[in-house]
Amino acid sequence: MSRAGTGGDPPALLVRGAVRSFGSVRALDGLDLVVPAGSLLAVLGPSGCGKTTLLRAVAGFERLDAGEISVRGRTVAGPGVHEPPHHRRAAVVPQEGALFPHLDVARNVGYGLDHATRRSGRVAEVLALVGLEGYGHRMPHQLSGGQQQRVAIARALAPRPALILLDEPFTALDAGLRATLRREVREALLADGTTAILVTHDQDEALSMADLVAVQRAGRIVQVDAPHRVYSMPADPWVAGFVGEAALVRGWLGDGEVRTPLGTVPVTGTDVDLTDPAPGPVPVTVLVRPEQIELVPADAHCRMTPPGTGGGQESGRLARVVARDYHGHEVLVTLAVRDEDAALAANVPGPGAGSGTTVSGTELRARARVAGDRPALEIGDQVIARLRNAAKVWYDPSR
Amino acid sequence: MSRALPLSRLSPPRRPLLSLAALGAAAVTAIPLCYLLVRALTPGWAGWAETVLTTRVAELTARSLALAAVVTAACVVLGVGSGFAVTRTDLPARRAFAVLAALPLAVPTYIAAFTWVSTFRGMEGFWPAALVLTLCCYPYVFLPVTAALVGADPAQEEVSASLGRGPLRTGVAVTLGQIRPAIGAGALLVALYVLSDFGAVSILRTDTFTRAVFVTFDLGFDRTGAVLLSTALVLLTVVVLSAESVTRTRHARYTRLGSGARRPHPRLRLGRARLPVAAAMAGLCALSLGLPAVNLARRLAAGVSEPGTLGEVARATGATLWLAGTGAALTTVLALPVGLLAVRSPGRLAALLERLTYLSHALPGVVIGLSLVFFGINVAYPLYQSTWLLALGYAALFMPLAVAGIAAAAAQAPAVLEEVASSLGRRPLGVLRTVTLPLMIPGVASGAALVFIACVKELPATLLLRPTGMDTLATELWTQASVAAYAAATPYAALLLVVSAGPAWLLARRTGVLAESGAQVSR
Repeated sequence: MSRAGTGGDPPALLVRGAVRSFGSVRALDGLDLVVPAGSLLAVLGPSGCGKTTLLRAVAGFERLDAGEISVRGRTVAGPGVHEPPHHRRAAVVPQEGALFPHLDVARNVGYGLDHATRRSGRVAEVLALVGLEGYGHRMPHQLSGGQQQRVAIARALAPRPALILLDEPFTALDAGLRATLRREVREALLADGTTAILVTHDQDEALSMADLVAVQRAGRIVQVDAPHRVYSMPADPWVAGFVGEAALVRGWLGDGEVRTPLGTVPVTGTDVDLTDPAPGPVPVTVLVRPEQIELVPADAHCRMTPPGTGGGQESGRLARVVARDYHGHEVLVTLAVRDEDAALAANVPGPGAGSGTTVSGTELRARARVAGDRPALEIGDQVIARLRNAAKVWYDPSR
Repeated sequence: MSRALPLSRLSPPRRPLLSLAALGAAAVTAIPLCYLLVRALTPGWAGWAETVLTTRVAELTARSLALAAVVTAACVVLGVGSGFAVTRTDLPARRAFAVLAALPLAVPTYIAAFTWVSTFRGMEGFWPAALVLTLCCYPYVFLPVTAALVGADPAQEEVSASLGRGPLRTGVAVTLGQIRPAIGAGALLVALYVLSDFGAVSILRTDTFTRAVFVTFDLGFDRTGAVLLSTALVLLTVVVLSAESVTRTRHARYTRLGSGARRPHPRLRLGRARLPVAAAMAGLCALSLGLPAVNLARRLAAGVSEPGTLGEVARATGATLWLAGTGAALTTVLALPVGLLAVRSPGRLAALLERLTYLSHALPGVVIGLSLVFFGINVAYPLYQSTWLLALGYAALFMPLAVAGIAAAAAQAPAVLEEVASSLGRRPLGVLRTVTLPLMIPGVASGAALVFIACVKELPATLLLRPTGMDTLATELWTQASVAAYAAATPYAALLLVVSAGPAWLLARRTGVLAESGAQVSR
C-alpha cells in the first residue's frame, strides 16, 4: 500500500515528458512519473529500457534533452535548468555499493553530513537502522558484500536526502542474502520515512519490496500501480508477460463471460465494456496466470464424466504435460492443448511479449502451478486443464 | 537475464572543465614544440631540401630507428623476463632482485657509457650503444610489466588451464594478453628515450639523429640547421607513435569484477633452473649497476684530481633536490588533468593531448632548452633564468612519465565514487579533495618519482636553463668529467645515484611485488 503523503504536499519526485537520446537511441522517450513522498517505488523494466538513464537523469548525472524533473516541488531539470548533482539532495546507491575504499565505515556514512551533524549521533543511528552497530571502525575491504551494501544504504540515508536512488543494489549478492537484505532495507527505509526509487529488472525484487511498481518499456512508464495490481491488472499484454508468468490466449467475449480454449470464465477489469451490444462474441486476448489453471488427472476425470458430456467451464480441456520445472514448494508444468480451431491462438503484440505462450501448429501452451507435494506429473501425462476465477481480457488492437 | 549497465558506464561523460584544464596543461608543455615548428617554417622549402633531404639524414634516420628498434626489443625481453622471474617463480632473493632491477633507472646513460668505454677499450659504435642503452632503459618495461603481473587476475589463467591449455600456451594466450598494455607503454617510453638520448651515443660515437642535432648546433652554431633536424626528429617520433597505435588493440580493459581478497598467483618451481636464473639476474644487475659502481669507486681511489669541498658537493645536492623536486611537482600538476581526462572521458581530445606530450618527450633536451631560452628572452622575461623556466622544460620533457602514472591511478578512483560523493551533496572541488585525490595519491606519487629521477639525470636542458650560479650534481659531474677530473666527478656521480635510488625503490615497491607473500608455491 502506498504511504503517500497528504494531498497538499508536492510529490517527492515529478518527471514530466523527459527525453534523453544517445545517438539514435531514445533512452527516455517522453517519460512521465510521479513518486509520492515517503513511498518506495520500484522502476521495473527489461535491460535497455532506459531505467538507469532515468535514475541518472534524476540524480543529475545526465542532462535531459527535453522535459522536466522536480524534487519536492523544486524544478531541478527543465528548459534552461540543470542543477548539479550536489544540489539535488538525491543520494545514490550504485549496484556495487561503491564505498570509498580509503574511509572507514563511520566516515563513509558521515560523508554527506556537515561537522555538527556528524557529531550528533546520526552516523550511529543509521548504522543501527541497517543492523551494523559497532562497525564504524571497519574498513570497507573488511566487510562482506552484503555488509558493504548496507553501509552504502546507511551512507545514502544519513543526510536525510529528498530521495534515495537505488540502482539494482542487490544484483551482485547471492540469492539467500538478497531476500534478507531486501526486507531489512525496506524496514530501514520505512523507519527513516525516506522516499526511495529502486531500479531493477528483477520482478521478485520489485513486487516484494515496493509500495508502487512503475513498469518501464522503451523509455516510457507504461503502468504505475501497487504490486498486486500490476500483477493482476496489467495495463497491457506486454506488462502481463513481463511481470510474472503469463499465458496470453485468444478468447471470445459475450454476456460478461469469456470463452477460452481452457474453459469459460467471468471477466474482471474495466478495459472492456461488458454492456457492449456487439452482435455475437467479440475476439479478445485473455491473460492466464499459472495459478488460474486447475489440473485434474485425465483418468480420474474420465471416471467422473463420460466423454462427450458437459462442456464449457465444467469440463475443461484435455492437455498434455510437455515440460516441468521443479521449485520445491511447487511445480510449474507446461501444458499443450490441441486446438482444433487455430484461430483460438492468441495474437500477442508488443516487444518481448507472450513470454508464457508459444503457439506451434495447432498446439497452444500454458503453464500451470501444482503444489510440490502432489504426486508428480510426468512429461507426457494427460491432464484436464480448467480455467478458474475471473480473467483479465483486452480487446484486440484491430478493434 | 542480463545485468543492466552500471551507473558509470552508460555514456562518455562530457567534462568541460577538465577538458579545458587538460588543454591548458598540454598547451604549456607544447611551448617548445610550437617554437620549433614556427622556426622550422621560416627557412622555406629550399632550406628543408638542403638540410633534411640528404643522404646523410637518410642514414641518420635509418640508424636511429634501428637503434630504437634493437634497444626496445632487448628491453622488452629483459623487462618481461626479469618481471616474470621476480613475480611468478621461486627465484631466491626475489624481493632484492625486484629492487635491483628497478635501480638502473637512476643511472644516467652518460655515466654508464663512460664506465663501459673506460673499462673496455674500443667499446664504440652501434652495438655497444645498444647494449648500454638497453641496460639503462629496461626498467621502463620491467616496472609496468611487474605491476601488471602482480595485479593480473589469476582466475583467467585458471580458466585457461581448466580448458586444457598447458602452462606455456596459457602463458602465451592469457598472461601475455594481460600484460600486453604494460609492455606497450614501457616499450614506447624506451623507443622515445633512445631517439632523444645524447649521452650514450655521443660517448660511444654512434651517429644518430639527436647527436647530429647537437653537432650541427655545437660546431657550426647553425641554429636553423639544428631546428630543421629537430623538426625531422619530431616527424620520426610521429612515425613511432603511429606504429604504436596500430599495434595497440582496441582499448581492451583488463579489470576484475566483484570484490573480495585476490588470491596470490601460484609460483613456478624453477627446479634445476633456479640457480642459473638467479645467476642471470645477478649478471644483469652486475652489468647495469655493478660496473658503474665499481668503476666510480676505483676512480675515486686512484684519483689525481681533488674532489670538491664538502660545501660544494652539498650545495649541488641541494640544488638537484630543489630543481628536480620543483620539476617533478610542476610536471605532476600539469599531467593531472591530462591523465584524468584520458581515463574519465576517453575520446579524440584526450588521445590527441596524450600524443602531444609524447612528441615533446622525444625532443632532445638541448632543443627543449634552446626553445625555452628563446621563449624566456622574447616572451616571458621574468621567467628567464628562474627555477620555473627549467621546471617548465622538465615538464615538457617528462610529462608522459607522469601522465602514465596518473592514468593508472585514476583507475583506482572510479567515476562511480565521484558520482556517489556528489549525490551526497559535496561540491566538485570537495569531491576532488576528499575522494579522487586521496585514492590517486599512490599512483600520482609513483609518476612523480619517475619524473624526479629523470630530472635528476637530465643534463642538456639543465645546463641551458638553470638559474645563474646554480650547479646540480649532473652539471658538476659533466663539468668535471669533460676536463677529465674523474676523482672530482665521482662524488657527484655517487650522490646522483643515491638521490635517485630512493624514488627507484619507491617505484619497485609500488608494483606490489615486495608486498606479495612468498608462501604460495605450486607445482
